[in-house]
Amino acid sequence: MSEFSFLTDGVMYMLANPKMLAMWLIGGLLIWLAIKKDFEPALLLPMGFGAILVNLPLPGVVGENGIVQWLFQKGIASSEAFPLILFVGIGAMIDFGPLLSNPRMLLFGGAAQFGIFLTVVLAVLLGFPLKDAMSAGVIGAADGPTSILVSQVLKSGYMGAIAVAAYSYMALVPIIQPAAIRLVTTKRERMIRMPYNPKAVSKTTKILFPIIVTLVAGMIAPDSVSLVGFLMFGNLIRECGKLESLSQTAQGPLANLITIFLGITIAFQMQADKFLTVGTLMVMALGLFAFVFDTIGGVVFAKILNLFLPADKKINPMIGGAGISAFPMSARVIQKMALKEDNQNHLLMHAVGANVAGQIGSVVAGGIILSLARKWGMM
Amino acid sequence: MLNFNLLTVAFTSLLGNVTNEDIGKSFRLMGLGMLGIFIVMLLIYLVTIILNNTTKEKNDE
Repeated sequence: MSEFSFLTDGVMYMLANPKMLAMWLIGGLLIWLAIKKDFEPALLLPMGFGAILVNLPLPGVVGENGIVQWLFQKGIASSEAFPLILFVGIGAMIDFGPLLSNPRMLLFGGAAQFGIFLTVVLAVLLGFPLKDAMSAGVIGAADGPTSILVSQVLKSGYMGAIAVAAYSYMALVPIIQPAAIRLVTTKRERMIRMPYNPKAVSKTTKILFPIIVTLVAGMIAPDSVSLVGFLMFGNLIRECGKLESLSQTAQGPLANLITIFLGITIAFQMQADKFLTVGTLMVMALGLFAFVFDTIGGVVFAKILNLFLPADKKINPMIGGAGISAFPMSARVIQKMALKEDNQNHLLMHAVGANVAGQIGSVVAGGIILSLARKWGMM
Repeated sequence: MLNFNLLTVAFTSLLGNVTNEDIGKSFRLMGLGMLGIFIVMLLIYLVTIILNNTTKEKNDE
């Protein structure tokens, strides 16, 4: 009879490890959020299924010859290949035109990274080691691949929680951002109109822009080169005008393939013993804090600029809130909020400019964090 | 090096494991990080203005 015990070994193992059952519920919750609530389904669904997959009894997909462990080692741990290749696709999707025709929006892409650094201070005060604090702060950038990359390079033990938080909060932009913006603006400020008079942008500018941004980032924050470089490489493919087929492939099949595997690979970090800790809950809370203060940072910066601008050149401070990386959701949220206050106030193109600036700002922020971590001997 | 003893003591009483050195580094990260981002963004801003002006005549669009 004992030979038949192989049929019950799995069940007995699960009963002895109730934390794994809890991870099934978390996986189910992520799948529910992806399907029913449309929360970043392309990432949360693979992560949810992966969370169930890596919490099954006995070595299956994890362990020395497990496929998920292999994907993690090759795709993320050894070279950060998955998030970086995804950036090629993202770069090919971005039209920097609205930013190039209104380049002052770049400043908001910088200001709206404030929450990242404030969160690092808070996390350290809460007792997190600096490398985990830095990794948690990057959630505020609303940039999943950068969050994953920074936490991996710094060898943070919270990569699973950070990835879940980054993608969940990205999906919650329409809820989190309006609340944060209303907190620090008056109705009158939200009603400021900004005429849109775009300047024509030459093709030469569009081609040179990704090359020059890579050079500038590479000189000042060398550790951002992989992030910025791959993002800008994708954009160069898009803008050169000669590689339409490659551009379409990068935007579609390449980005989709990597997305499928990135989600399920990240789930490697969602094994019950690593994931179910108080630290995970705190990282999720810190991520929310970072996200809110990134938005507030951009808005307050716009308000400060307004102190020095003439009455007819004032900036609607909500535009500052779009300086995060969640593209294009954040720009759409700002447009919706502006129209709600005044149905003739169209801010979409300004917000899109700030939003694509946020794409650059978030990868630069990630790179600067890695540069300082290297300088301080943390990697 | 600034002394963050007060913060260290206050937060140690809450959760523990707060070191003066890490607090100092986190504040330095905030200052240097925001400075670094603004320098990069300002440089890109200037380059964009120069590009827009120098390529205006050859506008393809």
